[in-house]
Amino acid sequence: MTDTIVFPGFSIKSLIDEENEAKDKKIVIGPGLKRQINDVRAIKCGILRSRTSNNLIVYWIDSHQKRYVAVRGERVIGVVVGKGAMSVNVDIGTSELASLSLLAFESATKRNRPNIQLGDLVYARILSANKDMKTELICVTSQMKKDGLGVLPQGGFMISVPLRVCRRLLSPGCKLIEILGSKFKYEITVGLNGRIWIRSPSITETIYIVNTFLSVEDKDEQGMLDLYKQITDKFQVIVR
Amino acid sequence: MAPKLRDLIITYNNLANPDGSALFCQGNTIVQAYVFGPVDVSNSKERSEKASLFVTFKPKNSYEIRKELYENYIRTVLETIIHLDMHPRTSISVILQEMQDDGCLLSAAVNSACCALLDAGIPMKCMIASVTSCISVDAIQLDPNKEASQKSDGSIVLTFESSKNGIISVTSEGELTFDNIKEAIKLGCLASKEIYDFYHKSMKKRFLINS
Repeated sequence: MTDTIVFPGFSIKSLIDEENEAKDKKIVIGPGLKRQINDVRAIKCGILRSRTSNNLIVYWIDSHQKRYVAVRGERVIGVVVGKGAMSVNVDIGTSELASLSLLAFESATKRNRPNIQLGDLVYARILSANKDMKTELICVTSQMKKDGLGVLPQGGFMISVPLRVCRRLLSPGCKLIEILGSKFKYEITVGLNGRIWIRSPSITETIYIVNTFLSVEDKDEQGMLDLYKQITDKFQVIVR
Repeated sequence: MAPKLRDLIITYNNLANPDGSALFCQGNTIVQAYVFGPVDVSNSKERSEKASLFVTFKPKNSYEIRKELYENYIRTVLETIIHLDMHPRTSISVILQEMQDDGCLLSAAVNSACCALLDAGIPMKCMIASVTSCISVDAIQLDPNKEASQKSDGSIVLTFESSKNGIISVTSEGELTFDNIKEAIKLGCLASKEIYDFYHKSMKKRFLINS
């Protein structure tokens, strides 16, 4: 039932019933699906996917979207475009700017605010995403630790890619980041809003890594394996 | 009688900048559609409860007058099928560029707009398919080219939606009798199924290549 291509208006109730007959699990309806009274319908075109955990099944649609729509809990890369007294406005690729409180950083107080300039890149988590309200970002976990979030250091390079490339790079089955890591020395941050930030010692390496990520979109499983092989065969690690 | 449409060809995502695009060919009629959205909107056009939809139809020659009739027709059709309430205070703009006109321009524009919206991942209730039939004294011709449509007495454009296969919009010109319209609807209904099949096939191809 997974990997079926669905279209807007397509009812997936029968597909869900079929799979869920004996198991009696809770069903979670993810992005791209909408409940209508007694029916569940797709509202986007894409591949229907599902994931089963302990006592629930999550269904969602994997589509070719390029424009990001904010979802609570996701980690994104944003550009600081406006600065206020207690918060900054961040462009995360959605229809509206998101706000990031200056107190939402590790060890930040009213006296001791983090140093953020216009044009800085921040890696942040979405605290609240609601269609009727402004999106709120946060740079700490619930334990007030930074956990990798915060202002990205200088000297990196950011690219924009379709959303599915980011999801693909972050999926457990994708080894591309590790394989590149075995050959190059680089830092990477992948935001779920279709932005990737890379920092490596030289421009040539950055260009090669960027081109590798840009070529991922049109590849199937076999194509990815070929790409891994190509990278492993082409480069040798030189210890400096 | 099986309906006969001209050859349909489509290329999805052929433009880099927009959020979704489709180049749709129906015989020799070609329309390039692209979609931006949901994006920020100016305060004067902002609606607090739903997204604002803008449709622009660009003729091949820029000195031609704007086809506002087309724009209005397509906007009303799209407004009924898009879930505009899911993205309040934003705008969705659909731009349709005529590349070549060989009859059925309005139908091709509606179909290409639907494909571009599918590509952009805009939430929709269903898909749409538009069919033009032209009526001469003795016969009804489905999906005519320019020559045939100029010779005919009248033409009717029907737009169908995919969930219940009902008609959501009709526009016509010329002299039509009641029987003509009935037959045109019957033919168009069959032809619209052919167009949905085409959407399915083309999207399947796209996902299998890419995933």
